[in-house]
Amino acid sequence: MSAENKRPRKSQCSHVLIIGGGISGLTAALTIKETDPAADVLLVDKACASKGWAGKAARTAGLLSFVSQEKDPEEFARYCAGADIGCGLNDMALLRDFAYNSRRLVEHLADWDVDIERNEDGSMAVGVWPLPWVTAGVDPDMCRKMSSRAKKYGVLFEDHVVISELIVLEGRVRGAVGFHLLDGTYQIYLADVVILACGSQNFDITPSWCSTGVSQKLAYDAGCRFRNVEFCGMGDFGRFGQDGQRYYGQHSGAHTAHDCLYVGEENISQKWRPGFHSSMDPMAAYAWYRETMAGNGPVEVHYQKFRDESGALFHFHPNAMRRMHRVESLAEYPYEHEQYEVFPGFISEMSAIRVGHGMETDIPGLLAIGDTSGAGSARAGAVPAPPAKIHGTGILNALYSGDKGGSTAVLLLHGIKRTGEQPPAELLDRLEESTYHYFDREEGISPRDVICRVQDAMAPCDYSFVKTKERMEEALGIILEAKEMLPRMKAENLHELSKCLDAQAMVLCGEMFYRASLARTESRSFHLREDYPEMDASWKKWLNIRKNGEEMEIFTEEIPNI
Amino acid sequence: MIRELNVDQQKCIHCRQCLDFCYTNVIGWDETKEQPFAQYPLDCQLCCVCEDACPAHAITVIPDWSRKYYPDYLSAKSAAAIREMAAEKERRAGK
Repeated sequence: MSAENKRPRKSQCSHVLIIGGGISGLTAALTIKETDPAADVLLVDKACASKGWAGKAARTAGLLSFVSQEKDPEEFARYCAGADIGCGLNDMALLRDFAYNSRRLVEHLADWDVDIERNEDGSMAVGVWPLPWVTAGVDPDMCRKMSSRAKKYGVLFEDHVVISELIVLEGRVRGAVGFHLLDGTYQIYLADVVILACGSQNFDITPSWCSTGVSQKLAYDAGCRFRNVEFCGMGDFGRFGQDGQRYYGQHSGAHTAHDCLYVGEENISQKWRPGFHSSMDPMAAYAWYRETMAGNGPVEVHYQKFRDESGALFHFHPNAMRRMHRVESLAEYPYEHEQYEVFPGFISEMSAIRVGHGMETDIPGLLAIGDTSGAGSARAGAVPAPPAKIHGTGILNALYSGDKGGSTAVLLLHGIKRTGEQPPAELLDRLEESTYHYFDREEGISPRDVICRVQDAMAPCDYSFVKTKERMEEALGIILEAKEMLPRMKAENLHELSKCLDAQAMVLCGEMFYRASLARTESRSFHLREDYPEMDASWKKWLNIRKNGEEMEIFTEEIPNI
Repeated sequence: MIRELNVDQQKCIHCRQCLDFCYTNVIGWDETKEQPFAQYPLDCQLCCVCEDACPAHAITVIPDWSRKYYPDYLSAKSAAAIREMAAEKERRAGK
C-alpha cells in the first residue's frame, strides 16, 4: 500500500491494555484502579464494553457458585480434585486459594452495585447443593454496572475493536494491534502490561457459546505454553423438535438434563453414569453413544423428572429468567411434552493458555484471565474449565482470575523499568499487512467455509467426546484440510475480516485439541478414550503445547508437590 | 440465523443504541429507513438481548433455524453404521 493510500491509523499508550470487556476484563480493570488509582487502564473490546454489552454474561443464566460460610473450602478443593473432575491434575495451591477467596469475591460485587437475588432478610438467595458449594442468581447484566463503575474510576474504553496481533519486542509483549470493526481504522495500542480477557474457544456450534478462540491464537503466536488442551471438549444435549429441527443450548431445554436420559423406561444415565452429578461430562455423552450405536435409540429426556429432582438447586435472577423464557419461546420449547429425543451438542470451552498463580503467561508483560486460561491455570484439573462440571463457576472464575490478574498487573507496573522504546515502524507495517491482507485478493473462499470444515471435525461426539486413535486421526485430517484452506480466504468486508481471524483461531485450536488428545494414551475425566478406557497412574502429569517454529511441540511435565 | 429483525416503526425512536447491544456485530443501521436491520444474520445467537434492551421495545427477533450450518453430531462412519442397523431391522421385520 503506497504512503498516500495508507488507511487511517490511531495510536494510543497506556500502562495496562485489557483485551476483552466481559466479567474478567472488567474485574481486572476495577481491581487495578482500586489498588493503584494512578494506573492508566485502557480496555478494548470487539463489542461495546463501555456500556457493559460485551462478554457472554448477559447471554447466560447468571448462575454464580461459591463456597458459602456454611460450606468447607477444603472439602470443595478435595471434591474438585477428585475422580469426577480434576483427577489429580489440579494445581492444588491455586484451587485452595480459589475456594477460600470465592465468598469474598462474590460479596465484593455489591460494592460495584451488581445485583444478586436476595431473601427478604437481605441474605443471598442461594440453591444449596448436596455438594460443597451454593449457587446464587446474579443479574446477567452485571457488566453494565461494572463498566459504569470502571468509567467512574477513570478506565478508558475503546469499543468495536478487533485485536489481531500482539506486539512482541525482544521477548516481551508491548501492546497489540487490530482494526476498528465499523470504520476499518488500523488501531495501535502500546502498553507496559497486556491482559488477555477475550474468552475461550467454543467453535461457534452451540448458540451463545460463540467465542472463537482469538485469545488462544494471540497467545500461541506470542510463544505461550498451553496446558490441559486435551480436556477441553465439553458439551450438553440438544433437542430434536417435532419437525426434526435440532435445538441447542438454552433453546434445547435439555442442556442440564444429563442425569435424566432414557431409552424407553430405562434410565441410561444411571446405567452408565450412576449417582448424582452436578453437570454433564463425557460419560453422559458416552451413555447416549453406547445406546445409540447398539441400535437402542432414540434416547430421550424425561424433563419433568429432572425438574422435580433438581429444581431447588437454582435461583435465577428475574432478568435471566425473562430472557430464558423468551429464548425458549423462540425455539417452541415443548412445555407440554415431558419427553423428547436428544443428541450430544458440542461446546468445547478451550481455555488452555498456561498461567501461573498471578495469571502470568510465559511471556513477560502478558497476563491471561477468565475464559482464556481457566483450563491452562490447572486450577480445575482434567476439565475444560470453566465451568466444566460445576454450574456457576464460570462467573466465579472470571471474578477470581480478574482479581488475581489485576493485582499482578499493578505489581508488574511498579517493578518494570520503562524504556519508552517505540516499536519499529517496519514491525507495525508488517502487522498491518498481516491484519488486512485478506482484503487484497481478487478471488478466494469465504472464511465461513473454513469454519464449517473445522466444525465438521469438532462436533461429532465420536470424534471429540468419545475418542479413539483412528477416529481422532480422521478428525485431525479434516482440521488439516481446513488449515490448507486458510491461505485462500478472502474478506469482502470488515465483518468477514474478523471471521478470517476466527477461522485461523479455530483451525489452531482444533489441531491442538486432537494432537494433545492423541498424545494422552489413557482416559481421565473429560478425556475419554475407548481404546484406552482406564486411568493410567503414569499419566498423572500435564501435557504442554507450544509453538516451535512451524511445528506444534508437545511435551509432558511432572506435577510438583506443593 | 435470524430471518430478520422486525422493527416497529411506530415505536422506534431512532436512538441507535441497538447497534451496541449485539456482541456478534449482527445489527447494522439502515440510513434510508433510519432503523436497525440484521446486517449479518448468520451470526445471530438468538440471545434476544436486543429485544430486551431496546428502550422503546421496538425490536422483535424472527428466527430461522434452518439458516445456520449445524455440523453432524456423529462421524460419517458411525452414522452409516446406524443407518445400516436400522435398515437391517426393517428387513427382518419385513420377513
